Amino acid sequence: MKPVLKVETIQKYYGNDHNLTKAVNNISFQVQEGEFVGIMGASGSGKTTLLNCIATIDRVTAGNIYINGKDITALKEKQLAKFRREELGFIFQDFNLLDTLTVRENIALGLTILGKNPKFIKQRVEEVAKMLEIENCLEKYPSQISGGENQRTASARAIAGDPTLVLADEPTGALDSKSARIFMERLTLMNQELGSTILMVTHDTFSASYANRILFIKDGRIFSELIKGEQESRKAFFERIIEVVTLLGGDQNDVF
Amino acid sequence: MMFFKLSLRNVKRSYQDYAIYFITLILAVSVFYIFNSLSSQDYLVTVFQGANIDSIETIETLIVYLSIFISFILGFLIIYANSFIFKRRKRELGIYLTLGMERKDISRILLIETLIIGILSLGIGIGVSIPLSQAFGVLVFRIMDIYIEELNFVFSWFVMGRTIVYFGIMFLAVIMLNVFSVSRYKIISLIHAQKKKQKLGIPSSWVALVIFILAIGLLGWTYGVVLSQDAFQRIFIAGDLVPVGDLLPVFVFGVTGTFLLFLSLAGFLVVMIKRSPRLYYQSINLFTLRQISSRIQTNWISISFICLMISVSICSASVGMALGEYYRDDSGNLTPFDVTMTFLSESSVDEDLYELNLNQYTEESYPLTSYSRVGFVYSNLFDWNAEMFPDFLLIFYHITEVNQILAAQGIEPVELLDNEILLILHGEDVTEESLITDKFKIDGEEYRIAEVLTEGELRTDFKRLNDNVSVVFPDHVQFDNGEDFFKTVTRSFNYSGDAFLQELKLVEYFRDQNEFNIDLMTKNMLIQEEKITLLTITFVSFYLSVIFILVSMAILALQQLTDAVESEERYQILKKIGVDCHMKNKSLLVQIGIYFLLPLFIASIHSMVALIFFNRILIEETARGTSNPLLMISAATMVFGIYILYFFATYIQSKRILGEK
Repeated sequence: MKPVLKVETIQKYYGNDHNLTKAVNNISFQVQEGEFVGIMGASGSGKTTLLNCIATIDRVTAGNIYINGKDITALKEKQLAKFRREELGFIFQDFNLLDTLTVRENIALGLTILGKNPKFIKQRVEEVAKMLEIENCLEKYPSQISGGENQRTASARAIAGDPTLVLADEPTGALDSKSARIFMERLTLMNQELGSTILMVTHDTFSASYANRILFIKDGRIFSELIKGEQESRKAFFERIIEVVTLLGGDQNDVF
Repeated sequence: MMFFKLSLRNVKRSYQDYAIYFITLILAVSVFYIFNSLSSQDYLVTVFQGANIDSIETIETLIVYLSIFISFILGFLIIYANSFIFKRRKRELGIYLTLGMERKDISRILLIETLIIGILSLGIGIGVSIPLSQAFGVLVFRIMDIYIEELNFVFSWFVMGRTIVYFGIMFLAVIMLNVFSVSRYKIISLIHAQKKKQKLGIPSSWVALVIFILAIGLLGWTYGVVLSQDAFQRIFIAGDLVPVGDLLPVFVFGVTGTFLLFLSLAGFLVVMIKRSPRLYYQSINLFTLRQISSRIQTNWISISFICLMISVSICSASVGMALGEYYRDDSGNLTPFDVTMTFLSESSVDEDLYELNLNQYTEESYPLTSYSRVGFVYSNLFDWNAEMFPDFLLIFYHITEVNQILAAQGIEPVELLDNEILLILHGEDVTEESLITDKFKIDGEEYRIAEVLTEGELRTDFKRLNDNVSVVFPDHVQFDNGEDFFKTVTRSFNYSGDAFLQELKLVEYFRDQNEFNIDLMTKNMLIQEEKITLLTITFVSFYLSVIFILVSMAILALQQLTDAVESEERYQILKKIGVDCHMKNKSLLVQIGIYFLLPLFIASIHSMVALIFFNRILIEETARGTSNPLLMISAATMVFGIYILYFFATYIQSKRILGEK
C-alpha cells in the first residue's frame, strides 16, 4: 500500500497579525490507496478549509500536500486546473451538476475534458451509471431526477475518470435519510469494488460510519482518530463515533 | 451633490457593463445625425446648386418622417438595453433600499446616471459625426458621380437640435421607466434577483427533426419559386405592377420557414452533433452545444426577426444601390434641348414670349405644336397590352416643325408624301417589331407608315415618359377640326453662352413670375431631379439598413450578456471540475461566434436568393445588374465593422462577467 495523499504539517491562517485565525494548525496525516477516510468536526473546526486546500481550490499558508507523490502546493494556477481534472474527483453538497446537460452528458463531461476517446467514454459512462444505479435516468436532466440521483450522478462524474483521489464535501448534506443511506452504500461500493480512494468531509455521524477511518478535527488540529476494526459492524463503529463526538463536546446539536 | 457623485462613481465603476449600451447609443446618435445632416436643406442646397428646391424639400421631409419611425425603433432598443443593465443592478438597488435609502433617492440616482450617459453619448456621438458626415457625404457623392464644386463644411444647428430633441425624448422615456420600475419592485425580489432560473425546454429530438425538415421544405419551395423562370416571367410580364397576390404565398412561406427553422434548430443541432462522437465528446463541446441550443431555444422568436431584418437590410441596400445606378446611367439621355417650355394657355403665347424676352437666353428656338384626339390610341398601332397599361393617346405633329427639331439634333430631315406618315418611337414596348399595321386611318384618309425613327426626341419634358410615340403627318393634315382634340404648344431651345448662368437666370425669373402660363422643364432640372431621386433611394435604403443591422447586433449582444449572467454558476462548476481558462474562453468564443453568425448566415442565403431574382428584373429592365463594386464594398465594410465591434465587445464583456469571482 502506498500513500496516495500525504499531508505534512500544513497551516492555513486568515486575518492579520493582530487578529489571526488559525483555521488549520499543523495538521499531518496520510491516506493510503483504496482507503475511505472521513473527516469529522463541528462547523468552524477547519475541516472544510482542509478539504479546500487538498482540493487545490485554496492555498496553504505553510506545509506541503503530496498527492501521488506530487507536491500540489508548488503548482502554478495553470497547472492546477490540469491537475484537478486528472487526479481529483469532486462530490459537493449541492451536487454541482450542469442543469443544461443530461445525466449522461454530465458524467461524460468528466471524461471529455481528459481527452478520452468517444468509444471509451460511451462505455465508461454506462459502466459507472450501472454501478451507481442511475442507468435509467441517463437521458434525463438534473431537474427531472431526485436529489439522491443527482448526488449519484455527481459521484459517477467524479469517479468516471478514475481519479487518484475522490473528495466529497458533505455529500449527504442535501439528502433525506433514505437517499443518504442509498448514496452512502453506493459510495462504499465504489470504494470496495473500484478501489477508489475517498476522502469525505462530514459532520453527520451516520454518513461517517461508512468510512474505514475517521479523523476528528477541532480548532484546526487533529483531535482524535478512529479506525474501523476488520470484523467490526457498522453499527458498532457508529457507537464509537458517537462517543468521540460527545467527547468533542458541545457538538450534539450537530449530530442530532 | 452626493447623489451626483454616487451616480458618477457608479457609471465609472461599471463602465464595462455599460459598454454595449454606450456603443449602441453612440452609433445610433451618429447614424441619426449623419443621415439627417446629409439630407438637410442647408447641405443639399449647397451641393445641388440650381436644383429645384421642391425636390430637396421632398427628400428632407422623407428623411424626417423616416427618422421619426426610426427613433421609435431606437427608443425600444434603448429601453431594452437599459433593462439589461437595470436587471444587472437590481441587487445593488435592493441593498440601497435595505440601507434605508428612500425610493425617490434611488430614482434620483438612476435619473442622474441616465442623464450622464445620455449627455456623454450625445456629445461623443455628435462630436464623432460632424467630421464623419463630411467624409461620408464626399464618399456618397463621389460614388454617385455628383460633382461637388468645393468641399463645403456644413454644420446645421437645426439638425443637431433635432438629434438632441429626439434622443432627449428617448432618454426621458428610459428615465420614466426606471423610476416606475424602482417604485414597483419589492426589496426582497430586488435582492434575490440574481437567483432566477432559466427555463429549459429542449424539445424531443424527433419533433425537432420533423419541424426542421418542414422548415427546410418550406424554404426550399420558396427559393425554388423565386428562382424559377416561371415566377420571374409571371412577375415580369406584369412589369412594374407586381401583383401582390402572386408574391404573398412566397412571402408567407419564406417567413414561416425562417421561424420554424430557428424553432427547430436547437434540437436539430443537438441531434446532428451527437451523431459525430468525435466532435461531441471533445473537450467541453457538449457543454458548448447545450449552451448554444438552450440560448437559441429561449430566443428563437427574436433571432428569427433579426434574421429577417438582416435579410431586408442586405436586399434594401443592394437594390437601393442598383436602382440608384439605373437612374444615374439613364440621366442626360433623351433630352434634346436645354429647355422645353409648355404654354398652358394657347391664347397668351405671343404675349408670354414677348414678356419673357427669349432672345437673351438663346439665338434660336423651336416651336412645336402637338395634338391628340380621343379614340386614337397606342393599341391602334401596336401590340399593346391595354388591360395591363392605360391605352395612351397618340400624339400627332407636323413634319416641318419636326424636321427643324431633328435638324437641330443633327438628324437628316424626312420627306413625306401626302399620304405618308413618320413614326418616332422611344421605349421598350413600342418598337418597330411590335407594330401590328403599316397603315393609319384618320378622318377617312389612310396614311402609310413611310419611315420609323428611333433616334431623335422632340421634347425635353418627354424624358419623363417611359414609352412615347410621335406620329408625324404632312403639314396639310388638320387635327383641330374634330370635336375631342387636345392641342399643346411648346417651344424648345438651347442656351446661348454659359448654360449654367443662363439656367440660374431663367429659373430665377420663373420663380418670381407666379402668374405665368408657362410650364418650364429644363435638362438640368431633369438631371438634378434624377440625382435627387437616386440620392433619396440610396439614403433611405442605407439608413434603414444601417439601423436594422445596428438594432440586430445590439439585441444579439445583449442576449449574450444576459445569458452570460445567467450561466455564471455553470462556469463556476466547470472551473471546479478542472476546466481551465483556455477551454472556457474557447467555448465562449465559439458560443458567441455561432450566435452572431447564425442569423447572418441564414440571412445571407435569403438575400442571395432574393437578389438573384431582383438582379434578373434589373437586367431585364435596365440591361445591367447590381454592380458598382465600390458601393457594395463600402456597404459590406460598414456591416462587417458593426459586426466585429459588437462581437468583440460582447466577448470581452462576457469574459469579464464570468471571470468575476
